[in-house]
Amino acid sequence: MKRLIILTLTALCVTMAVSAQSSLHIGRLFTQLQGNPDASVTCIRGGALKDYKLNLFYSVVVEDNDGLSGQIEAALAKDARKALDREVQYRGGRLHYAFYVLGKTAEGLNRYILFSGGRRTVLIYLEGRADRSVINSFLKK
Amino acid sequence: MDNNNNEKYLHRLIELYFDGMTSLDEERQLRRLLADGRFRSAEAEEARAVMCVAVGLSPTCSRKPRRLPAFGRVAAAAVAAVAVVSAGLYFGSGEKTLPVSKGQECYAYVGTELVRDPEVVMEIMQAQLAEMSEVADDFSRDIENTILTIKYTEQ
Repeated sequence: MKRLIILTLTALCVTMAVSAQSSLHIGRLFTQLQGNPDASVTCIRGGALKDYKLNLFYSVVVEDNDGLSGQIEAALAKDARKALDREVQYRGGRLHYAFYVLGKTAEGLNRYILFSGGRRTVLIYLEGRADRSVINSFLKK
Repeated sequence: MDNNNNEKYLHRLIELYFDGMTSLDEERQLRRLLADGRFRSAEAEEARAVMCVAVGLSPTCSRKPRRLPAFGRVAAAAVAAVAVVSAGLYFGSGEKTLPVSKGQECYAYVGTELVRDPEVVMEIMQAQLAEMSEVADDFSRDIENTILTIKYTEQ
């Protein structure tokens, strides 16, 4: 009985650590906003991203909708707390640009969030083997 | 259906699966055929790896179930308890992980319109990355200008 309790507690701790690592608040948006007339959602997973050394590309774009933009920024703010590295710029009191590096997934994949705010809000989530220099190479000239 | 037809059907299902076009029933049939173990083509092995299907679950398998040793029973009970809690965390939290499904996906919703053409979807992705690249460049320039301003101020 004692062995069962110890094993269960150990496994629970590991599960919660993994769960905390992989769950993202922005994740919900990528499914909720599919088909929303004011949003565009793009999902690419697999071989098509090989040249970018990525496994997953998710994006949501919202234009002229303060409500949806606010939801995106609120979700992003929660996930940003877990960021290991960041580049952030505010304009007029609102988040204008952000680049967050998150902790790796359980499979050892790197994770990044990109954000551009304003009248047109763009949120991009990237996951894959690409390191920071690869991401910078197709973001910054 | 004979073995040859089954294998052709299996490859067709694998193709549909990686295109994200299998129904639930077809996916079940695919898992059953992959678990069979008779089909060992490269495509079948890849699908097994992606779908985490273990060979040896064939109904023709004649191994008798063995009773687990005591530690194994304890471990199995612990794993079951964790699985229940994990399911609770996942479904109960309201904050899901990113949608995880095996295989390839390539689609875009532009407003209410669903786009499945991979070329168009890739163009959308590239346009969004280019847009983000411009904003990132502006950010870099602002940082450089700020640093230069500080330098000149200090002189």
